[in-house]
Amino acid sequence: MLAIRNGVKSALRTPGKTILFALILTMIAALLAVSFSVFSAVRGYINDCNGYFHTIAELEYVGRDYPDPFVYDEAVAEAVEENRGLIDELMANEAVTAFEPASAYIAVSDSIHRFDENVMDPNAAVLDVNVMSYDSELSMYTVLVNNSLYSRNDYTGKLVLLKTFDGMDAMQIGKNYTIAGRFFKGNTSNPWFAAADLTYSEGGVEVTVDKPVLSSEVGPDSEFHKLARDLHFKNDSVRVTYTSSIEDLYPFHQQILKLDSGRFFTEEEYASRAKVCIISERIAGLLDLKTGDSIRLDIFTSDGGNVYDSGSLRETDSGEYEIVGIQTDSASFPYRVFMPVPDSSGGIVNVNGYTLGQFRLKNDKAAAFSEASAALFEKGFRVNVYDQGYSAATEPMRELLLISAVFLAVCLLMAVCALALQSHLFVGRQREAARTMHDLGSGKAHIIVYFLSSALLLSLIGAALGCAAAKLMEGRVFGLLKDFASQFANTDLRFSSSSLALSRTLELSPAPGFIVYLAAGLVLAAGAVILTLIFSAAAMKTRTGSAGKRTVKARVPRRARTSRLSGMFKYGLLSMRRGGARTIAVLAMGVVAAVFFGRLVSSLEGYREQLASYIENAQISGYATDSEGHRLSGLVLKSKPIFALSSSDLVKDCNFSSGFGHIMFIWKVGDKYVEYTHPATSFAYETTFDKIWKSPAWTGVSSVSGSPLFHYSASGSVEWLEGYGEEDFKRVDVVRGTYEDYDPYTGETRTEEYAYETGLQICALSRDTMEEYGIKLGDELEAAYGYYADNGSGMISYISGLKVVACYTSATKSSEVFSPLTLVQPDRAFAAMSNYYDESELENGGQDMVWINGERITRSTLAKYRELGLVPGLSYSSFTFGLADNTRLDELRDKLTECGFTYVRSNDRHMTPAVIEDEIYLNTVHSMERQIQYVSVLYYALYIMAGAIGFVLAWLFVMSRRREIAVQRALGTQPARILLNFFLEQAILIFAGLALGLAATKLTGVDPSPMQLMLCAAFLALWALASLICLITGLRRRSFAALTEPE
Amino acid sequence: MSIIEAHDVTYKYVTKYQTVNALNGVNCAFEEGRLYALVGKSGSGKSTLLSLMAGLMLPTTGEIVFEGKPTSSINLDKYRRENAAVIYQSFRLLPLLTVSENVTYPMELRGFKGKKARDKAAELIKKVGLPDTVLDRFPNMLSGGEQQRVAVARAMSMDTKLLLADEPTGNLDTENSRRIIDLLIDLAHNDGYCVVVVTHDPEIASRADTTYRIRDGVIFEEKQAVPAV
Repeated sequence: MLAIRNGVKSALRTPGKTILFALILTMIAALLAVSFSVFSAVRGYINDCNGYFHTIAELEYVGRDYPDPFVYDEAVAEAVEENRGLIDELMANEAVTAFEPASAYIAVSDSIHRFDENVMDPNAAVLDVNVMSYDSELSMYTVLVNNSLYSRNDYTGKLVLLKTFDGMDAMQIGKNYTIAGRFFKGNTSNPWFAAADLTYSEGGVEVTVDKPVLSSEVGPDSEFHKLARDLHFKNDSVRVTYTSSIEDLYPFHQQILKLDSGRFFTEEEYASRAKVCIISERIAGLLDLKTGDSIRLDIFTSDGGNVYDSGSLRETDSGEYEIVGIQTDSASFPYRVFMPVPDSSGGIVNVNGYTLGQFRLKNDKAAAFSEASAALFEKGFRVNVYDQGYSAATEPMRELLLISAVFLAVCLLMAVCALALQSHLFVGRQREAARTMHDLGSGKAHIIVYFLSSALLLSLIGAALGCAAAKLMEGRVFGLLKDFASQFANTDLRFSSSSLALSRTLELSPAPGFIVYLAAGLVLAAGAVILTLIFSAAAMKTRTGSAGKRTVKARVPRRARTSRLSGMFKYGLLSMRRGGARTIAVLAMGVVAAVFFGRLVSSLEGYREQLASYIENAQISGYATDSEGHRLSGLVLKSKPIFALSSSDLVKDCNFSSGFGHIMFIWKVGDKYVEYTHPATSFAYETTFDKIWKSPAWTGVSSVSGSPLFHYSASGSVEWLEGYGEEDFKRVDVVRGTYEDYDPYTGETRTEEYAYETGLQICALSRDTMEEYGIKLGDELEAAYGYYADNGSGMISYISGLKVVACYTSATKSSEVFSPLTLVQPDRAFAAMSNYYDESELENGGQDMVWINGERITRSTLAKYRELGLVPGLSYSSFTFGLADNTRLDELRDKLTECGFTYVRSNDRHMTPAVIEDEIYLNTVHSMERQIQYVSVLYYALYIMAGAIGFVLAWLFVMSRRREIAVQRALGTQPARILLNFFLEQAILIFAGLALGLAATKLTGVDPSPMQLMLCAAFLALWALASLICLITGLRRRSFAALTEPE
Repeated sequence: MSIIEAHDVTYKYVTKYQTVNALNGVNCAFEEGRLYALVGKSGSGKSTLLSLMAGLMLPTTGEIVFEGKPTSSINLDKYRRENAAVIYQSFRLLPLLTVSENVTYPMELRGFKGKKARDKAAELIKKVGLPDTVLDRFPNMLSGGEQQRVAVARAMSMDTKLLLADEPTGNLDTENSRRIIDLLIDLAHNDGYCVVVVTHDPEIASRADTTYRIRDGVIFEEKQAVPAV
C-alpha cells in the first residue's frame, strides 16, 4: 500500500507532467481505438462481402449463332475436344471451387401446351384430314380435321381451308390425308392452312418433309408422325436445368431470375436428387400451379446432338415433381424448370446453345482466374466472370483496410513511443529515487509497485478517457467511413460494363462492439505495464553499475586559426564555420528536407501525370448489344440512334455492319470455277439456294478491323493486298451508265443517263475460306447471294468482279465475307443514297424534307447520314464506337440516353441496349484517384510532420546553445546582436541546405516544382520561426539560469 | 570610496510551490583595489548577491548602487559590458571561439577591434600566465586551470573596475586554485580592481582583504577590511 500511495503521490505532485501525459495518452488511446475500430469494421465488411457475394464464371463458345441458347452447333463440341487440355487446366485452377456443366435437357408434359412468343414454330401443324371439297378459283380445298397429330390448337372436327402449292398432287374428295404445313391468317373465319415443307433452321432444328401431303395410309413411324413428335418437343417442351447450387446459377446469380414464391432447394434435396423443382411463372400460370403442387414431367436429353431432334432423344427420368418454388419470368430464360443434383464437378457434356457451363470461384481469386482464361479466349471461348459487385465493393475497402492497418501501426508506434517517454520520465528519471528506496531496504517488488502505481495509473486514466472519447466519436467516424464507401457506390455506372456483373450491393454498416474499445485500452495498459517493468528493471540495474558517473567525451574541433573577422555578425559567421557536426546537421536537414519534399512532390505529380496520361490515352469503346449485354452482331439496330450518336462529337471510330440477311455462295474465282454450277444459268435453282444457306455470311462493314468479329474477339489480324487498306471500305464510287427510256405516248425511246453511288467491289475473306476455295489476295470472285426481305421472302442476286483485298484470321473460326457497307446495302439503300427519293415530298412546310425508307428527314441530315455511310431507315446488325474524350464519359452516358439507347437488362424492349466498356478504365482511374487521395493526405501529414520535426530540431539546436547565449548576455552583448547572430546562422545554414537539396534535385534531371519550392520556403520559415521563438525566449533574463547549470 | 554598494537588498525566488528569501536586507559596500570574499553555506544567498552585483538580475527590494547609480535605473547590458566582469566556476568560455577570440570578444563589444584587440588579448593571456600557443586553441583543448585563466583574461579584457568571481577555484586542483587566487589578488592589489569572490575556499577567504559571511540571506562582515594597498 505504501508503494502504491507513494507512487500515486509522485504522479500527483508533478501535475504538469502528469496532465500532459494523461492528455497525450488519452489522445493516443482515442486514435488507437478509432483506428482499431475502423480496421475491424472494414475487415468485418470484407469478410461479410466474402460470404454475401458469390463469384461465378460462365464458359461460352462464340460460335456461328452465338448466343442462341437453343441451337446445336457441332463446332462447339469440336472446339471443346480440341481445347480439352486448356479447359481441364482452367477447371483445376485454384480459384475454382466447382464446375457445373451446362447440359441439354428438356421436359415435356401432356399438360404443357405452350402459347408464347418463344415457341419456335408456332403455326406449324401436322393434321389428319378428310377432303370435303375443292374451290378451283381459290385453288383451295376444304378439309375436315380428323385428328391433330400436332397443332397449337385442337382443330379436331373443324373445317380448315387448305391452300395448295405449285406442283402439288391433286387430292381426292372424300379421302383421308396426312398433311404438314402452317396455319396462316386468312380472310374468312375458318382457319387457313398452307401445306408446305417444314424445312427451317431456326433454333438449330432441321426437319424436312419432302412431300408435305401424303395419303393417310401412313403408319406411326412415318415422317409425319416423327415431325409431329419433333414439333411437340420443339414447341411444347420446357428447358430443364440441373444444378447443385441454384443461387449461384447465372440467371439467379445475376438476379435475372428471382424466386417469386416458395424456396430454393435444401442441401438434402441436392444430395438425394429429390424430385422437386422450381418452375417459371409462365409454366405455373399456364398449368395453374402453385408452390406445393406437383407436375408430371418426362425428361429427355440428347446423346450427342440437337435436344429438339426426337431422333436423338432418350428419356432420362419421368414422374411427379413437387414444385418447391416459382421463379419470375425473363425473356432470356423462358419456360425453365430447375432441379437439384448433387455437386459432381463433372466435365463438359453435350450442350445446346453456346454456354458450356459455369465455374464457381473464390471471390478473391477471380481476377487471377480471369487472367488464366486468356489462353482459351484466343481459341474462340469466352469466360465471363460475374462477381455480383464483390470487387467493386471490396477493392476500395481493401485499400482502406491497408490504410487503417498502417494508421493502426502508426498509432501503436506512437503509443509505444509515448509510453516509453512516460516510462523514461516517470521511471527512468527516478533512478535516484529507486536507489534511495533500495538503500532504505525496499525490495524490488516494492520499487516496481511504486513505479507501476504512477505510470500505470496514468496509462489507465489515459486509456479509459481515450477509449471513451473514441466511443463518443464512433458515430462521426463511421459516418465518414460510410461516406467513403458510398462515394464509390455512387459512381455513375449507366451503360457501364462494370454494372454487368453488379447484381447485389452490401451496405457498409459498421458496428464494432464494446470489446474493440476494451481491447484498445488493454493494449495500451499492457504496453504501459511492460515498459514500466523494463524501465524499472533498468533503473534498479544501474544501481550496481556506475550510475551517474557518465563521462561525456568532449568535442574537440580541429585547430583553427584565430579569425580576423570582425563586426556585428562575427560570432554567427564563426559559429557557422566552426559548428562542425551541428553545422553539417543543419545543412543536412535542409538538404534532406528539400530532397524529401522533392521526392514526395514529384511522386505525387508523377501519379497525377500518370492518371492524366491514362485518362488521355485509354481507349474506351462501346457497343450496341442485346438485353443481356452479349457482345455479338446479328442485332437489329435502327439507324436513327446510331446516326444520332455517331454524329455527336463525343464518339469517334464508329463502326457499323449489316448483313441484311445476305449469305454468299462463291462459285468462281477469277477464271476458275470452284463449283461446276453456274447459278445464273443453272436449271438447279433449288441447289443454288441450298448452297447459299450453307455458305458464309456476307457482311457489310465500315471497317474490317472494326467489324464485330474483331471488336468482340479481341484477337485476330488482317493482311491487306498491297495498295488497299481500311479507307477503301469507306470509299464511295459513282457508277454511271445509260438506259433506254420508252415513252408510250410518243413511242420514242430515249437514252437516259444514270449515276449512283456505291462502295468498291472488294472483300475480305477468312484465311480458312481462302484455303478452302484456293483464293489468293487480288483474285476476283463471282458469287451468288441471297437475302431475306422484311416480309420474309427471299431472293438470289449475283455479283461479279468482287476483288479479294484482305485476308483475316480470327479465333472464332469465322468465315464471314466482309465488303464495304455501301456495297452490301440493298438497292433501296443505294437509291436513297443516290437521291432516288420522291421529289414530290420536297419543300414540305418550308423545309427541305425527304422521305427515306419511311423516315422523314431534312436534306442536311441526309447529307450527314451519307457522310457517315449510314442509310436512314435501315437496320444494322452491329454498332461499335469509341469515346472521343475520356473526360466526357458522363456526357456520353447522357448522350446514349438522349439518342434512344437503354441499359442492359432494362425492361424497355423498344430501345437498343448499349454498353460502354469502361470497367477497366473506371477501376484504374478510381484506383489511381484513391491512391492519389491517400498519398495526398499521407504526404500532407508528412509535410506537417517534416515541418514539426524541423521546428523541433531548430528549437533544440538553439536550446542546446542557451549557455552560449547566457554567457554572451552575461558579457553584456546586446540581445539584438545575439538574436541576429543566432538567427542568421540558423537561417543561412538551413537556406544553404535547402538550396543544396534543390540543386541536387536539379542534378537528378528533375526541375524543382513550384510546390517543392513552396514547401522548402515553408520549411525555412518554420525553422526560422522556431529559432526566433527559441532565441526570444532564451534571451529573457531567466536565461542567466543557464550560467549556473551544471555542464 | 566604495564602487558598488548594496542598500537593504532583498531577493525572493518565487516558485509555484514556495517562495525563498535568498537575501534579507543586505547592506554592504565594495571598494576598488580590494579583494572581497563572500562566504557562507550553500543556499545562503552569496551567489544571488553576486548575480545582483553582476547585473544579471535586479533586487526584489532595495538597490544595488554602482558608482552612485542604482542598477535598476541603468541599462544592464551596458552595465555588464562596461562595468562588471564575471568569472564563473565552470569558466563559461564560448566554445566556438578560440582563446584569443574569447578574450577579444568583450573588447569588440565595446568597439575595440582588429590587431590592437588581438595584441591586447595576447598580452592579457601572457599576464595570466599562459603561453602564446594557447591563443589559437579552442577552450575545450585546454585544462580547467588554463580555461579559468582565460576566463580571467577575458574578464580583464573588459577593462572594468569591478571583477566578480563565482567560486573560481571550485573546479580546479590546488595548484591551479593557488594560481588563480594569486592572479585575483594581483588584480585587486596591483591593478586596482574591486574583486569580489564567492567562495568556499578558506584560502581565498584568509587572503581576502575583507570577508563577508552570508547566513540565511543576511550579510555579516567577518574580517575587518584593511586599507587598500
